[in-house]
Amino acid sequence: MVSIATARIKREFKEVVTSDELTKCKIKLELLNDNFTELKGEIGGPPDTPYEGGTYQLEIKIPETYPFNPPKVRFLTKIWHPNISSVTGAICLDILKDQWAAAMTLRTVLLSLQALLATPEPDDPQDAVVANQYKTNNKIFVKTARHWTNIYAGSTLAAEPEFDSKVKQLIDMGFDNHKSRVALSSHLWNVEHAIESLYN
Amino acid sequence: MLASDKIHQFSKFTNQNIDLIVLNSSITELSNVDCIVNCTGPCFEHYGGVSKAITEAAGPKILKEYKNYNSQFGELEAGIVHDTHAFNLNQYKYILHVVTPKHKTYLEMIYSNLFTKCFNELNLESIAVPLIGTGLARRAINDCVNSLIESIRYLKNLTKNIKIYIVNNNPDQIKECLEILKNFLNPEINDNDKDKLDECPICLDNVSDAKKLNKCGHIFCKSCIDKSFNVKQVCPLCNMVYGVNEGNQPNGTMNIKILNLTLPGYDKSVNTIEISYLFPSGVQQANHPNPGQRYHGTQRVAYLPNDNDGKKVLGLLQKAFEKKLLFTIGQSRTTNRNNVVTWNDIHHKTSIDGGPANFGYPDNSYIQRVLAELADKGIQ
Repeated sequence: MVSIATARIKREFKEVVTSDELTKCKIKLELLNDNFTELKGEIGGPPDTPYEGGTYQLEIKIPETYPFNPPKVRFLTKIWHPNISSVTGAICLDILKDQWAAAMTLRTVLLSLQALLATPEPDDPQDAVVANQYKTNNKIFVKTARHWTNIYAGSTLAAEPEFDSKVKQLIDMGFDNHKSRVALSSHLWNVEHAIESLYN
Repeated sequence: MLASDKIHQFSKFTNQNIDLIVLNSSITELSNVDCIVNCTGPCFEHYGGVSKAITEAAGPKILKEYKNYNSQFGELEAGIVHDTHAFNLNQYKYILHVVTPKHKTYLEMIYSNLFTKCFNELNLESIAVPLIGTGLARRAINDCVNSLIESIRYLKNLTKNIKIYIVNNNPDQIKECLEILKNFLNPEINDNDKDKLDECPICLDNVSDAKKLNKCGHIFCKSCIDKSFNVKQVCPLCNMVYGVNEGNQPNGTMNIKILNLTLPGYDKSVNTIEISYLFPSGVQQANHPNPGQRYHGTQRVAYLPNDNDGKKVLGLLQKAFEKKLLFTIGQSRTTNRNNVVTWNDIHHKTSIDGGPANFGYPDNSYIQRVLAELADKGIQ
């Protein structure tokens, strides 16, 4: 017998793949195994946001109890966003937790994630450091987020070259590339503070 | 024959083989009903009303029955159903006598006992019941109808189609009764719903055995919506709440302490409520993600202002804790570790200060947000 979860994903998969609306929104869905339990999602960064031009890969796992319980989704592409962990890619979004409803689909999830990129909710943070920066130093937040989009999400828009040179400074001291970038991002690109945090 | 505007029929009530029929009529003037119910006193005495009408219509022979019962068994006790012949009311096979209860909590038991007597013991197919206690006892119709519906829901071992008539001769009370019943009914699918039968929002296939929700009117396959309600009793399309589900929060404790300090953003005169949660480690049960595996316990502290708002939230949090809704077992959002006791989407302030980004105060909108989160789970 085909489980309701599998039957649902099959139908949803067709819907996402064939819908014009979704190609316009730069949303993709790819199957990773034959039993429809693991998928890869992809969303484009929304225009007029620091994520514009970026492409974000998502890990999607379908529980046996789908669609009565939500799919498990996390960002594979690193991103600087108040509601997404810069370390694990875990997402704080109500519809992936208690506000999930069985009538929602992977399409609604992908569109909601795109909407989350456009409108962060710093008062309900997943990443407290990012959320704090968003609220207290929004200009630096925007630059940092844009920089991450450039480095990790393949954007070709403004790359903040002075950030790159600071990262290089730390790499030359022997620190790991990504760790250096996280330390600088978390300390408002103050090289001294970043180095201090890396030594701790 | 009753005029059609006095008859309100609900077929297949609560999806069983039960027809519920509300009649605006006198209980002594029905036809095609096997038995009627007489609400009376412990010595079958009446102070007027329906009981008087039944006794008078049944004729003097029934008085002798009453006497016999009292001399043999004493007073008719609350909750006991005594059946007699209907004598001059010979369109009925039986009259079932019960004592009008002193308290509303007995109503459900009395209706259940009446149905057991009628359908299981006497093997009848139809019963006419009054709105017990809404006459001279002046009990709220709402309590009565709710108890009646609950007892119908628990009817078991029905081997045939049965009919339950709710009978009352007061048009206003009938109107009120119908209003209350609407909340329980799965409305009929009508012509306007035809295009909605093409796709069930849950399985995305054609709707089979359609079920329409009574408050929001959304339509699903019966099997789909039943499964969905097992997980969460809300409409999958609009999140309309249909009941409070128990969560899967493991065993733990919730303790309250008053701290002599003021949270940032509050007046100096307001002190602070400290809530401590403690969940020891244990083994996951069937309703957890990995039954049989161990889970790691946790210890959490949260803060609320000790003012009216804070006390209101505290009361609701206690209710949510009893309903096992505050915590769950899963993957920690902060450490990514699996099989741990974690928050279940009702946000707490785990710091005194530092503002929203550090899960602390001040945060002007926190009280409103947490109230909304509680309401989403049916706690309000």
